[in-house]
Amino acid sequence: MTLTKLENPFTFKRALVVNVVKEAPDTNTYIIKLNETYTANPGQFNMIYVYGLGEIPISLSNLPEHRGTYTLVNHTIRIVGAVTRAVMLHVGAGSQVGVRGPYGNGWPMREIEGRDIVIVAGGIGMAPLRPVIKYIENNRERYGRVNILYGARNPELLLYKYELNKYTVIPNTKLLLSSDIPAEGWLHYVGFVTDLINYVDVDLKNAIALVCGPEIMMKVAIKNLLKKGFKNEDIFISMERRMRCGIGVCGTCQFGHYFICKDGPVFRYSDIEEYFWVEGI
Amino acid sequence: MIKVPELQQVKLYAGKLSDLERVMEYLRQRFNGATFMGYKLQNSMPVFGEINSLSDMPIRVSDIQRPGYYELIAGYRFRLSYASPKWYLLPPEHSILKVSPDYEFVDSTNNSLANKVVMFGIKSCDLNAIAVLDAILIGKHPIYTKKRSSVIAIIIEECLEPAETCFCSITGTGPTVLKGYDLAYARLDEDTVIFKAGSTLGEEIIKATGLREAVQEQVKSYYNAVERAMSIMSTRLPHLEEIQKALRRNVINEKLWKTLSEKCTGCGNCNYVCPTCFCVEIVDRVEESYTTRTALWTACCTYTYGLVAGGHFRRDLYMRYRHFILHKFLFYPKQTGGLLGCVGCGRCTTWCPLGLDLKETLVKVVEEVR
Amino acid sequence: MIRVLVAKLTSCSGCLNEVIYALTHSDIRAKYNVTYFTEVLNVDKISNAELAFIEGSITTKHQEEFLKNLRSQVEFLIALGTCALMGGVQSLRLEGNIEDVKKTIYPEPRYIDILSEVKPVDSVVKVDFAIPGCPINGDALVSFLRKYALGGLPVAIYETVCSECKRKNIPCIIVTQKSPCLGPITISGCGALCPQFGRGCYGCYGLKFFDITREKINALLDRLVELKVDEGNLKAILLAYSFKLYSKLKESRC
Repeated sequence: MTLTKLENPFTFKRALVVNVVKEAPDTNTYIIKLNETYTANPGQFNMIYVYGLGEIPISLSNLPEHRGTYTLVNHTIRIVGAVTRAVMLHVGAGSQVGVRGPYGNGWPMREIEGRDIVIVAGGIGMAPLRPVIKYIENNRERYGRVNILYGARNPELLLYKYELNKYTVIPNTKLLLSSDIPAEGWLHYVGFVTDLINYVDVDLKNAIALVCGPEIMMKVAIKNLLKKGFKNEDIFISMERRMRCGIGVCGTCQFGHYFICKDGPVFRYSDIEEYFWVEGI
Repeated sequence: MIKVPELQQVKLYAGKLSDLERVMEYLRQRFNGATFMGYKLQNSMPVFGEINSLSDMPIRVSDIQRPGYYELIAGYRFRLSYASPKWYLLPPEHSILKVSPDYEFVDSTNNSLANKVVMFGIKSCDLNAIAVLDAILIGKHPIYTKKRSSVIAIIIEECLEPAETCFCSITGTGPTVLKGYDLAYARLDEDTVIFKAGSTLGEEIIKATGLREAVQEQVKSYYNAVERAMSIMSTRLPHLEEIQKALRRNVINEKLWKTLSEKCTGCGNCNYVCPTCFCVEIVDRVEESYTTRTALWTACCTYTYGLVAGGHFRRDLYMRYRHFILHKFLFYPKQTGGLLGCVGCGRCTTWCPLGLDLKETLVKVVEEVR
Repeated sequence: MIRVLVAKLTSCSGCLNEVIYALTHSDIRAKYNVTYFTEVLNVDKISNAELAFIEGSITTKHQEEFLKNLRSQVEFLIALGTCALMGGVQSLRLEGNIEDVKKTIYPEPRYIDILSEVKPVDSVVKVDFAIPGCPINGDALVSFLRKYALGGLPVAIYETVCSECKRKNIPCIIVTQKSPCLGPITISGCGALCPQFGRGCYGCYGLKFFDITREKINALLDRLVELKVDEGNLKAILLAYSFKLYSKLKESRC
């Protein structure tokens, strides 16, 4: 058997954190400088490495920004475990990290051209959908009406608060916000973001939905979207699992017969329907 | 499933145990400096590792295997060690990257050249397992790819008598081989060995060692033995299609999976000894001036599998046990382009400390449908 | 420098020996400053620090107060070893009457002022991180200290001794030697020390707290009893090294 020498896929690019934006009490966006022209599709992710502590899969939370010889990428990270805690407490502007990627398929931006788009995001689930909004904004003529439904447990936990209003000035775009609980000064919907599916204003015959959030929220979202009249094959969700390699060899991100890292993280609902409702598959 | 008539197109040669020694000698000279890897006895226990001569191999023992039970006795019907070629191809612990605190790579793991390796005496089930690992890992996993590329010849030993835990005829992975090997041999009795070539190299080996074509009586008793072995195993389980159909229908049968995994303690032994299980965790081993990113075998039956920071996607053990079974029989074929993840070697059953029997599980799943 | 306190309750100091081993690494000494450690330093007053390591279980009222004070002085508390986490061998006395237990050892039992129970550390104070073992694995502690200094923690992997056996290429001794072994239900971390020498695991790292029910323990115990092991001994071992969990499982009707 002859095989050309395989580059070690686990090597990463050294990258510098140039800025940190506080999003919520437990969430920051890290703006990372890569010394190369780097491109990624909305919905793809990088493996972010912190020396001695480990690697975590984190989706890109903005379109890569090309600046001559280098590229700026955004990663929005919430404290959930040992590595994210270390990132939060010890990584700041001027810190180094390792970055490899992009991995995964991303949202089907090509396929959904010409369609009305409903974006349903819960909490940190907005991160991989934010580049979708930016992409549509840059290519507005290619897409139909856009409805952005975004909610969090409370208003403080909403990400990108400093720019959410700007989404409403994108032509033909509607933004619906929700908070699970009432809060002072909150003028938007109180309840689950999935309730907002009732209020979408799109041509249902030509609409697709992009969903990301906690698994329970995505389950409810799918139920509501189906009830609303969306077809199985017109709903896309971005999923999460334990993930170690990003390239389909460590086996830890399996979901049914899919590897979330290489077959996903974005799935067409009709492709995963048989597994989606089976607890623990 | 392999049909006996298909086999009959292959020319058989006969020799003695000493001819096997000569085959090894020939390969040693032809592939100067090659390492021979196979099942070998170490402290009177068979493992998988480097073989220096025939006497390292378990040629004078037979294994008795039952659920949770393994014993060697004098004989010539050795089937399997708990360890498979996976121990060489995807080692239990392997370094994937060494990094300095300023994120420089200390030492690329791909630099050293692979040795030449001859797999000698591995069984048909394990050969099929290598094909499964190839489908998932080759060209993607750097260590596996390097190690797999080092394998320059594969010599197979066919089993003419299955162990109690074997069912390779059900999974279509044995006991005989049809492709993917250079030379195969089977022990007709204590001293008689039947050979067949599976490649040009195999033909050259046969020519160079001057093996004679098997006489009709030997050919007949070889095929009889194969047929007997297959018919013994065929009674142990329903047809594969029936098993798969029943599994599909019972994916959501939570109660069934809970019952089936009642005695499972989630130790992961079945995963580790499985020749096709490939899952690894990646951990950082921090030293004074660098860290080694190390891949460690992990197991889908252990609690870690499905655990994420802030939650767990397979919290209950039955979910992980179910994944182990579904992955082998339903998911692998979709991941590998049709190859079953179970090769019927029975290791998961023999090496389960609680003696959980995979066959019993499968039979129960099928009965649930009937 | 990260300030560290090292203290012990009822225990054998075996884990503390591993702390000393960890401190033989120059990179660790360069980052940590141990300010209280009665076995090593001539300091008997606890002062504010970032970290504290605690070994042993609580068997006196005084220890409980000591522990609460220790906790109040630090940001991050690490429980070391089976005694601190599960109760330890001293839990064996719980099977008998406390006054009888005192009498069997001490000529003047009235001077012995101990609780009738044995409490793991986390039953009294919040524990931020646990390193199991009897004693703990010194290298696990080294790993913890290096990662903590980098701002993180070791990523937890939940598995049993079997995982370490297989990765070390040790054939299962239950299956091949019919030797009793508690490996399948015991937390990993020792590096399969006993099976490496052909001996069964006796569970000193403690019963795993995940995936375990009474049925599952009994399934393994039944299997070991088949291999001619005395059931009473097995249960005593589980109680000694895993008091906190095993006593709960024993009582529960789950």
